[in-house]
Amino acid sequence: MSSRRWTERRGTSLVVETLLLIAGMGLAFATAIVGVVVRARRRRTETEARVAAEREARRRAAELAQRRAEEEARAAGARERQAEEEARRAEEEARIATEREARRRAAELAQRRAEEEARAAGERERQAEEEARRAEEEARIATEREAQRHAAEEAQRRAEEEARAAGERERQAEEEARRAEEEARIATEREAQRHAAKEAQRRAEEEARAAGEWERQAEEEARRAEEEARITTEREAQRRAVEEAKRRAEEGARTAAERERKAEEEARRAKEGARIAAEREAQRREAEEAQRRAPQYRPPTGGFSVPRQPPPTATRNGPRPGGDEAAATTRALAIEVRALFDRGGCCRVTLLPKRRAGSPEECAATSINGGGLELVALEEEWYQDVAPEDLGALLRAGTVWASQDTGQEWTLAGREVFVLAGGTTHRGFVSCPRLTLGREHIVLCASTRLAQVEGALQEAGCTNRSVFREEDGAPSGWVLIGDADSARRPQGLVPTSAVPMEEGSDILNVLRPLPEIEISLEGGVPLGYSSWLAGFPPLIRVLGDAQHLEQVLIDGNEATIGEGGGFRAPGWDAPGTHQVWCSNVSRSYSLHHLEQSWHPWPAYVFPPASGSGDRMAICGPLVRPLAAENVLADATSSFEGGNLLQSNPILLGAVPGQVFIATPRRDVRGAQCFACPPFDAVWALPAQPLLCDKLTNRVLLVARPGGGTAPDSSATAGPVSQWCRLILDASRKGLSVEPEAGRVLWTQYKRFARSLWRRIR
Amino acid sequence: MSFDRMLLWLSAKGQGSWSQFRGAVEAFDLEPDVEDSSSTDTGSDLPIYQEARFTLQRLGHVEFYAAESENGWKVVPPTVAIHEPARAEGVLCGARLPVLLDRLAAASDLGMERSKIAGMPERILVRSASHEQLVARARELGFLVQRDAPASLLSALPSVRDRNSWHTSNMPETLGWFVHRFSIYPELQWIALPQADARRGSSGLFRFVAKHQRFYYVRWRGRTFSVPVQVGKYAVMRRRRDTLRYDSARRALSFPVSLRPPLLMERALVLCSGALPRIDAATRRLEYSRVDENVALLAGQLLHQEVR
Repeated sequence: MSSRRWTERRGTSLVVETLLLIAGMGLAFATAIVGVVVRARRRRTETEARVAAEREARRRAAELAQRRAEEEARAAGARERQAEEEARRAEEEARIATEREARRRAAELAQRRAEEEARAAGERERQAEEEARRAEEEARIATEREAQRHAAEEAQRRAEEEARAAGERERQAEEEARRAEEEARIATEREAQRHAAKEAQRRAEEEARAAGEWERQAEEEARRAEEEARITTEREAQRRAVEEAKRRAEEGARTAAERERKAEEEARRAKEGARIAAEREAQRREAEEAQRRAPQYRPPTGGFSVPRQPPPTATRNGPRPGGDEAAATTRALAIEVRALFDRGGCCRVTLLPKRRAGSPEECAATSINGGGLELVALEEEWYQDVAPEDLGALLRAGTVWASQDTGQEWTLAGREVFVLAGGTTHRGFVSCPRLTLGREHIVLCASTRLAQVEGALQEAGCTNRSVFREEDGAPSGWVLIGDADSARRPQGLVPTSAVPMEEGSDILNVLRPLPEIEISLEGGVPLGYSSWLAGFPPLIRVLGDAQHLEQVLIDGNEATIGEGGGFRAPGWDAPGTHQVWCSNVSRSYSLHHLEQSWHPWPAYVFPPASGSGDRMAICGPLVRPLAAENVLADATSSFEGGNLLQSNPILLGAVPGQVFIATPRRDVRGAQCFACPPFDAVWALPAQPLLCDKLTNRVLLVARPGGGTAPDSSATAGPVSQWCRLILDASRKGLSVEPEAGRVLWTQYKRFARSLWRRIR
Repeated sequence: MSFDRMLLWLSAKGQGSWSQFRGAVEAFDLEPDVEDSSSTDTGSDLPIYQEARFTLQRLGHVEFYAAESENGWKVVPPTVAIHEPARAEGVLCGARLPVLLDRLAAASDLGMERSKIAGMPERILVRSASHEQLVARARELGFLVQRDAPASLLSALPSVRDRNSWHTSNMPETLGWFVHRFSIYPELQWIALPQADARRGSSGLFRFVAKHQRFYYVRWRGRTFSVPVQVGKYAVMRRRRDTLRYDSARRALSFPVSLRPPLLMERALVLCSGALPRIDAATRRLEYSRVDENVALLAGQLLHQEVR
């Protein structure tokens, strides 16, 4: 029982256990499910929370980013605005600068125009003054002529009056003659009547007196004859009276004409006298002016050491109004004397006027000695030589030249001795203040001073002298004293001894050299401003009295006399700056290496003679096609084929499409043809490969050695079909290849062209 | 010596004004050599400045009054001008500084021949073993090279009758000019005529002179052109048999002194030898030496003259 109960109990508990187990399992399952669900929910919740958090974070990040983007956009906008602001400011400034520039240019232009107008106004004023002077002169001449004309008219009037009076007298004489004739006629008629009456009476008487009236007839005839003679005499007297009256009238007219002629003669003499008087007056004024203006040289005075006397530069008329600038502009410039020798020993003495910087290249000047002259610029500071005809007189008296256009004056002080020095900036010898020890000189002196000058030169150590006279080219009345080498070639005198000057103003003091020291830098290749080209340094000489000569130092090193007579010291000719010192006198010079670079430029440009093709440019010996405006084609890019382009003008490159057709010149046989193809040419073909004569024409290989010559299949350039066609035409024609070694390459090109042609068809 | 120093100075300066050039002529004491026949009996009344200028222009060292040097001068870059095609010899033209000459002298495969000739800078000939070597080495040393310089120059020049190279101009209308016409018959000479007749003339070469100015004009079919005097003379001359003479044995081409060839043509002829022409005092002819026949024929064609 217990076992059955146990078994029943066990069965029941088993069921219960099973149920419990099942319940438990179910519960477990449920729990697990709940747990899972809860977990899942929790997980989901967490996930959602996480997602939400992430979303939130993303949202925040996005907001942040957006905020940042907005800020950056704001900042960018601000920067942009700033940039625009700055650009606007820059534009504004540029505009302001442009406006300023434009205003400045306008101001300059206006100023230039104003200056031009002022110059033109000045010119017009000068012309007006000139015209006014001319008008006054003409008026004066007209007044004189008028006065002369009046005088002549007066004389003529007087002559006419006298002629009229003579005519009147003649008329009166004729009248009297006529009256006399009339009276004579009347008298004759009366006489005739009387005679008739008498005749009648006589006849009557004769009739009355019949006989022996022969005597009475004879007497009557004699009486008649006497009467006729008397009448004839009276008539003769009347005729003579008439002739006398006529003669008197003619005489009166002749006298009147004579008087008129005398009046004209007197008027002419008066005019001549007035002209001579005016000329004399003008000459007198000119002479006075010349005496007043032509400066005379003031020789240096002796007694104590004086600095070199500067040449007279100030005009005697005093400073002109306008301040220092106007005075500087119009201060008289010096006229130097220059002597040039040729190798034959002949010399030429000329005047060399100075030129102020900025003055015109040409200007007309007038001389107080009479006449005008043209000054033409030689260089910046000098005009070209002037050779007046009366140079001899002019040197003695001095002269002043004046330019009316510029107001500039030039003066040459008259004297009898000129000292000229060589080794200056000009050829030959140019006048200088005095002799300098060690320097070459020529002395130009009046012939009358020759002995004195030679004496002074002897004292100065110029012992070997040659005199060049008028037949050697010296001016009239003057001689040149210099030296000559063994071949009679002229050279300068070199004074070697200092000579004390004489007291007072003695012209010969200029021939007495001072003992002062001077460092001279000569020769070499000067570059200006005490600079010389390295490799061509100056010849360093120290001029002066040897007794006063101390040690010569160059850059502190003792210098000695080297080749050519110049001083040298270690490093004296090295590039850089150097200083020469001697007896408290110093001078510096510098030597420069120049590594210049030069570029060719189109100095001359000619259009192609054939009418087409590149323009040709020339620079020195260079001939190049003009690649661009003002740029020559590079030699490596231009085709230097010599004459082959005449026969083979078509150039082909390695790249399909590289075709260049040169245009040979047709107007000149044998001329070279120039080409500048934009590629490296490989082949040169005849102009028409299919039509040319294959016996005389060739395909020429013209590639540069080392250049790529194989056909380039990787690229094309330009007319590919033309490139192919030309190669195939030449091949079809059967043109041979020159040089022979190019045949293989030509074959490559043919094959390539054929395959390319097929592809592109 | 003076011309050499002057060329050094010009090379150092590079370019300048005409007045600077005149100053340099004075400073370097250039004087014509009276004993040298090339400077005597030229019939030239040019001052020494113009003579020096033309010497440097003819030798191809310096350009005057050309583009970029309208008011003065500019030195040509250092160039080796090869005389003849495929020859291994050329003449040095243009700038020359000591550093350049040292470079050339230091090149062991190049030979230099320096000749002092009166009235011009030192002639420097550069030689090499082969033409191509000369070209290559000269370029390496910084020199420009012009192959076959004389023929190249002549090939680039227009003929004297090419009116495209003449400048249309007008004759001066102000009074005071001395006017001459170039007459061909019976002999070459300048004949004076009134200024108005020149403007009325339909053809011919006319010279206008006033003080130191000279202008030359060609009248052709009623139009006036300004030309250089040498171009004008040959342009109006007919083809004559005896103007140009060529001696093939001596390779010498000669011209009458009064019919000097135009400047650039003369430069081509000078480059054949690197020296200025010689004047034969007996025949009064200018003689250019070492001129190839094709160069002579080219010159004749450009001048429209027969080369005898």
